[in-house]
Amino acid sequence: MIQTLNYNLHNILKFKITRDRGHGLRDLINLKFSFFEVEEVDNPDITLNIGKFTPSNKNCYLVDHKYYIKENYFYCKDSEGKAKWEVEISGFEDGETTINFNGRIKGFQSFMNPDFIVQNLLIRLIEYKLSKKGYFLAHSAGISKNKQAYILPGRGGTFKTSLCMDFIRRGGFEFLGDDRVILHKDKVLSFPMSLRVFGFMCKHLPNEDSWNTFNKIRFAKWLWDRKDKRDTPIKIGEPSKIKHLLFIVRTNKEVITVREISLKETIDRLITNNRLEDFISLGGMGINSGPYLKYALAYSYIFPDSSVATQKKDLEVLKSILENVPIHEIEIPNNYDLNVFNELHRFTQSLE
Amino acid sequence: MDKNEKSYNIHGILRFKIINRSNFLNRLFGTVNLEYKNFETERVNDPDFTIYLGDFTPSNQECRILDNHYYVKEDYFYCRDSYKAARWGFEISGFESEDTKIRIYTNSFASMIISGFLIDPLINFKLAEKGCALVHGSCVSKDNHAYLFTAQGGGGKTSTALYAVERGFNFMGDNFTILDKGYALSFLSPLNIFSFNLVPVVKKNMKIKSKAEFHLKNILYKMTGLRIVTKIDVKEIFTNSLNDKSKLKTIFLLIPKGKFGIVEIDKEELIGHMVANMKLDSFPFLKYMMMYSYVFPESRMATHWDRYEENLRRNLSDHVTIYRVEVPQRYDINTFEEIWGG
Repeated sequence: MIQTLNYNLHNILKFKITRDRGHGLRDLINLKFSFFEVEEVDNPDITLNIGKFTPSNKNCYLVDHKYYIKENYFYCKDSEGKAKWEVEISGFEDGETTINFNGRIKGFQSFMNPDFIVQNLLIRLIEYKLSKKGYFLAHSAGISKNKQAYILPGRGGTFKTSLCMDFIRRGGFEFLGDDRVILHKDKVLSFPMSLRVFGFMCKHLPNEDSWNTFNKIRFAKWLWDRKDKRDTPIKIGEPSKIKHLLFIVRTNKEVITVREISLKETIDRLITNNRLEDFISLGGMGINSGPYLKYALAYSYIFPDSSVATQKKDLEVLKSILENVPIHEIEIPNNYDLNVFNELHRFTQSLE
Repeated sequence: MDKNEKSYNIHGILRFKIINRSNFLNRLFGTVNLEYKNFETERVNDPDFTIYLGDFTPSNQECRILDNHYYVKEDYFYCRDSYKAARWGFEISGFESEDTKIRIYTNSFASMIISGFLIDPLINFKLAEKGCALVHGSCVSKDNHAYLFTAQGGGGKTSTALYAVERGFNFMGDNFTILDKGYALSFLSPLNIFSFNLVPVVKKNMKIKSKAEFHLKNILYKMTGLRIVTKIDVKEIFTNSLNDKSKLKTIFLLIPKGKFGIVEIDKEELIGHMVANMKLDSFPFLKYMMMYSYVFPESRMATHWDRYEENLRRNLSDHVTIYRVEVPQRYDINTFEEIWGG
């Protein structure tokens, strides 16, 4: 049974996923973008087809024995760790994009995330398309209050999720995203992903590291009780003005320190931060080499002047967005506790 | 002199030391000794970097922690990583200054790949600091003129160079070449021998031991599907046909496609291809560089690729002729003849 899912991101970008079959209740977790799901979309910017396909990789350049490349086109068979897949992307550089993906992840870890790899590729293409339209999909947490937003970019393990949870629970903030937010002009738009998981965590867990067996069972029950409803207890913030950008850096020092950083450094960092997200990793799957980054480099090797290769657009977009925003970096200790949130909360308030 | 300590000198431009204190198995499987053998030299006292192989305790206090396992502080990086069955950990310090130290722990699988994963990219970084450019390509020479064949994996770098040596050219390298002020400098790493590139000159000059190794591994491959590549020191084969340094005359960018085609391109276009080529060849080191750059966006490490591009521009003469060659996916002697005919 073919299943079609439609998504609309703030009327900026539309995409469609079709697949051979759904994954039942697992899709409550598996499908990351459900917040943006709609009944129907016309002329999607991206169409993702999951399932068997026949590639049209005739007349291609071949890079490193396995990447098939021609203008606006990419195909390869790939494998790493416990995953194996083949992917074809037409419209890799321009125009409407179609991703054909057929893959499999072995092992228990992937049970709840059967479409993990392709959603990672999809989000990368969403980022690329948004960038062409003048939006920057930042790897960052974001929260807002009275349409004033704080954005908190950081690498993995910097407790972005825990901070969001506490800003919402204790600070009375609304949620924009714990992994990505969209930046445009002087505004932040929400990009909540895996909202059901976040909803449960916010309600029941002290922080993101509290996933023990007991909580996993509670979560399963919690999902079961809400399986038909799309709503979560989380209030999603409206587009808000960027009030402050605060990099979160985790350290193995004991103290919390804050310093100001320059616009140039900030732009470089935000771009590197996004590129580093291409190195997908999910515990136990053994994947850590960054498929999209390799695909884009292989494409750049053949077409060095293409917009995939140069990415000049991001620089301009970010410069115009952040020109008048105060920017700081805050170093936090190795372990998260309420003290971290309190310090951060106090710091944001001191800027009022 | 400590027999665990070896010194290397790359054309008087870059000097480094390897101090090997790893265990018996890692030494048995390790390829590092063979990999840089042709740069081995008398003891050097002021190396540009020193590599310590063997277990170590990281000095990763007071660091920023990225993605839960990359440790960064000023002029310092540490992490553990893995690829398939290979596991390694390494700590590098002093790379922003003159005195660089890299400590590497590996398991036996990683000891076979560590040169390509960590040391070659470090050499690339350091050569860029010296104003030269390491390029991914094979190189041959005749009458003091060098011909560079740059390509990604599968482009026929090794085959082209080997066919050329058959035709009386001198060998300068089959994987890397150094560009220095209009000259090509040799980078003699061991040849990876497969059945498809076993050309007569190699077959004839291979020693009995290497031949036996090659055939044994071939049988093993046919029986089990497990491919272990045979590496041969180029000095074993090309005793009288090696060359150190020649004026770079012609560059061929080889890209596999359906059928043969050749077109002249300009320097700027070549540079674009070459930068992406080197980045693709720098995994997983590229990831470590990006992690460090995230914290220190204005560091030497973060600006390396801009410098690399600029070095290519500076070290390539404007008089060099550059061809972009589309080669068939099955590369053979006919392809070579066509390149040469063109």
